[in-house]
Amino acid sequence: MQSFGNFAILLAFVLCWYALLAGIAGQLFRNERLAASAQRASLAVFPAVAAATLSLVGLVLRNDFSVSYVAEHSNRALPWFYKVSVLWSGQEGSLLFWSLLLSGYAFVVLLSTSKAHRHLRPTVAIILSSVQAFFLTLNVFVASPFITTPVGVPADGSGLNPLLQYFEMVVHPPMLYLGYVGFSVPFAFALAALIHRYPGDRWIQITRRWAMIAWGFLTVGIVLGGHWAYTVLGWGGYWAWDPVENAAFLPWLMGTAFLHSVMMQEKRGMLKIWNVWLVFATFLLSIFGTFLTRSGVVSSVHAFAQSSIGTWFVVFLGLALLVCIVAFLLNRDFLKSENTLESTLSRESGFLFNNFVLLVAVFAILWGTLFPVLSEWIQGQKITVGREFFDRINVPIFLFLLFLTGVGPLLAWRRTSFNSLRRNFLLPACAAVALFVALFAFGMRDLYPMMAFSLGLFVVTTIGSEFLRGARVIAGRTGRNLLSAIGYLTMRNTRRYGGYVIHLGIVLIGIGLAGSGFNKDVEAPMPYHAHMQIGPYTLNSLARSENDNDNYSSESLIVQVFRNGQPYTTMFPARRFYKASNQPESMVAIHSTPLEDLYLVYEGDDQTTQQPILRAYLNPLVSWIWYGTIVVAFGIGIALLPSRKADSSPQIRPALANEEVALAH
Amino acid sequence: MPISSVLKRIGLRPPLREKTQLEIPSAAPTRRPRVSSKRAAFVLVLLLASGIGLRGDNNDARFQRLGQKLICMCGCYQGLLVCNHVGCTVVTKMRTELSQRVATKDPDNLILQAFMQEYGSSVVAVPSTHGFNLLAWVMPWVAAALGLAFLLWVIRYWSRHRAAPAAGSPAPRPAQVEAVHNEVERELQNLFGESGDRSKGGRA
Repeated sequence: MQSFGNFAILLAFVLCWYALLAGIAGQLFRNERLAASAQRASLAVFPAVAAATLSLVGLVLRNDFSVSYVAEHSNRALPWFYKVSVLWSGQEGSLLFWSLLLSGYAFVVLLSTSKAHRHLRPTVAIILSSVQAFFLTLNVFVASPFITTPVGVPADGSGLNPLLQYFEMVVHPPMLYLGYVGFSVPFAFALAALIHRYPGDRWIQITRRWAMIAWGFLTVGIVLGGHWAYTVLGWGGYWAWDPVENAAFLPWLMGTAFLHSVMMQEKRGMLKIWNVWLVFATFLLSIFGTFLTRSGVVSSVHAFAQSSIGTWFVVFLGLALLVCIVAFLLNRDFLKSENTLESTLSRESGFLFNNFVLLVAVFAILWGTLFPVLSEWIQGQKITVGREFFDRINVPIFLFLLFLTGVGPLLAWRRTSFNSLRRNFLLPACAAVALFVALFAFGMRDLYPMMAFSLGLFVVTTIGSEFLRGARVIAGRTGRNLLSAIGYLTMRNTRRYGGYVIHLGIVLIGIGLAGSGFNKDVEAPMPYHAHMQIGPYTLNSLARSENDNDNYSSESLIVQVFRNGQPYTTMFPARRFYKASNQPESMVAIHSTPLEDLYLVYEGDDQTTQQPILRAYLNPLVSWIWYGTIVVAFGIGIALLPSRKADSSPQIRPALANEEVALAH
Repeated sequence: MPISSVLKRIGLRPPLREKTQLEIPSAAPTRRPRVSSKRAAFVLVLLLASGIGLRGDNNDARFQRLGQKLICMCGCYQGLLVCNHVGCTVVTKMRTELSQRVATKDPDNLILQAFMQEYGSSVVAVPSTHGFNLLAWVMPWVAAALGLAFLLWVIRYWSRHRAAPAAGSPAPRPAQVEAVHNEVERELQNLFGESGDRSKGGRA
C-alpha cells in the first residue's frame, strides 16, 4: 500500500505538470487538442491524489508503522475516527490533504463550469494546476507522507497529539482547509478573466459564488477552532490572537471585504480593480496563512508541524504576486469603472467604508502578527505582541464595523435622501440609545460591551424592519401570513435576505464576544468537601474517580454545583494521561446555558499538599457565539440558493411594485 | 492613583525603589521641600490607607493586572495566568515570583523590568510605548488615517467627475425617456427580482 501511495502521488504530480505545461502550450499555440488534453489531465489529478490519500489512511488504519508518518502520528489503541484525522495532524499529511481538496475543487469547477464560460475554462484549469503543481511538488520532493521508518519498525506508534483527540479536531481542519483552498477558485476565475479581458460581468458571479462557499467553510472552520480551544485547552477562552489564528482570520476578513464590494461591481460596474485585487489578496493571504502555520517564523501556541518548508511558500507567494501584478499591468484598462459615485449618502459609500474598515483590520492584525519578526530584525530583540494589543486596536474597529452593518441596509443605491435616512434611522437609533441608557442605569460601566450590545440591537432592529416592511407588503397583497411572507420574501431574493441572516448571526457572535468583558475566574485547592464560590454558584468537591483504557488513564474530580444555594448539577473535570505519547491533558467540564458558562478545569494536584487544584470560570454569553455561527451558516446556505422567479401574476406584480416604490421613499 | 503621583502632587519626591513605601526619601537638607505638619499628617494617613489597601485586595488586583501583561516562558506562549499545562514548573515559578514582587510594593513598571531582565523582552505580552516599539501601536492608526484620507479623496474625485447635465441642455429625446422608463421598470423588478447581476436587474 505504501508503494501504491507513492505511485499515486507521483502519477498525480506528472499529470498535474503535464496539465500545466500542455495547457500553457495549448493556449500559446492555439492548439485546441493540446488544451483539451491538458484539461483532461487536470481532471485526472483528483482520482490520483484521492488514491494516494486513501492509501495513507489505509496505512494508518492498518497500523503500518513501517511508514514514518504513521509511526509518528498514530498508535494501535487510537480509535478509528481519530486515525482518519491523522491525515491532517502532521505536516506531510496535511499538505497531501491540501492537494486532495484543491484537486477536488478543480475537478468540480472544470466539470461544472457552464458552456457560457468555456473560453475561461482552459485558463482556469492552468491557474489551478499551477497551484496544484506547487503542492504536489512539496508532496513528492519535500514532505512525502510515504517515507519508510528509518530505524526498524516500531511495535507501536508515538500516538496522536492528545490535543487533537477531540471531535472538533476531526471537523475543524477540513473546514478550515476547505476555506483556505477554496479561495484558489475565485482567484483562478479572477485572474483568468483579467488575462482574457473577459467581457461582461458574469465571471464575477462565479467568482462571488465560489468565494462565498470558501468564506462559509472558513467561517465555520475558524469558529470550530475557537470551540476546540475553548473546550480543550482549558484556559477559559476561545480566541487568543495567536499568529496561527490570525493567519486564518486575515483571508476571512479580506474575503468579507470582497463579498461586499463585489456588489458594487454587479450593480454599478464600479470597483473592478479593487475587486480583482481583493480576490488576489484573499488567495495570497490563504497561502501566507499556511506559510505562517508551517514555517515557525512566528512563535505560536500552535507549535505543530514547523519546518524549513517556509522558503518554498515564500518563493511561491512571490511568484503568485508577480503573476498578479504583471496580469494587472497588462490589462488594467479593461478594469475601468463604468460609473462613479453619485452621492456620498448612498449604499456605494457604505460599502466603501465597510471595505476601508475591514482593510484597516487586516492591516492591524497583520502588523501585530509580524511586528515581533520586524522587531527582531531591526532591534535584534524579540518581543511579544499578545492579546491585549490586538484587543485594544481591534475592538474599536469592529465596533465601527458593527455600526456600518446596521447602517448599510438603510442606504439606497445611488442616492439616499436625508429624509428617508432619518425616517429609517430613527427607530434603530432610538432602540440602541435606549439600551445603552438602560445598561448604564443598571450599573454597567464597561464602554465597549455596552456599545457592542447597543449596536447589536441597532443592527437587529434595522434588519428586522427590512424583513417586516417587505413581508407586510407581500402579506397585504397575497393574503399570506407574516411568517410565510417572510419566507416568500427571502426566497425571492436569497442573496439579499440570506445576507441579512448572516448579519444577524454576526450580531449574535458579537454579543457573545462582548460577554467576555464580564468573565470571572477563581482558582483554589479543593480537598474533599471544600467549597468554592463563583458568581451565584457554589462548588463542592465530592470525590475523585479513576478510569483506565488502552489509550489513556484518567482521573476525575466529582464536583457538586449549587446555584443560589439550591442543588443544580454535578460536573466532572478530569485529567488524562495518554499512554502512547506520555502526555497529560486536562479535560474541561462545561455547563453551558444561554446566559453563561460554568467552566471547570482540574489543574492537577498541589505538589506539597497533594490536594486537587480546581480553577473555575464564569463566562457570560459564550454560547451565543456558537448559536450565531449556526445562524451564519444558515444564512450562507440561503444566500447560495437560487432565487425563486418573480411572480408574474398581473394582479400582484404592479401592486408589489407600487408598494416598494412607496417604501423606497 | 499611584503613591508616587500623590506625593508629586503635594510637593514631595516619590520614594526610591529600594525604600519601603512608608519611608520618606533622604535628600540633601537644602533641597528638602518645606512641608506643613498638616500636609505631612495627610500624607501619612494617605500612605497608611494605601498600604492597608495594597496588603488586602489590591495585591490580588495587581497580581491579576500584571499577570495579564506577562507570558509563560515554558515555550507555550500562553499568558502567565492562562498557561495551564499540567505540571508546568515554569509557570509556577513565575507566578510565585510575581506574587513576591507584588508584595514588595514595587511599581508595576519596575516589576515588568525585573521580569524582562530575567526572562528577556519577550516575557511582556504587549510592546512598550516608547522607542521602536511605539510603532506597533501607532502604525495601525496611521494606516487608518491614510486610508481614510484616500477614501475621502476617491469620493471627492468621483463626485467631481461624474457626468453632470450641461446647463441649457436640450430636453431629453423620447428614446432617452424610454431608456429611463426601462431602467425604472428593471429597478422595480429588481425589488422582487431573483439575482443580483445588472444584466438581469437584481438587487443584492
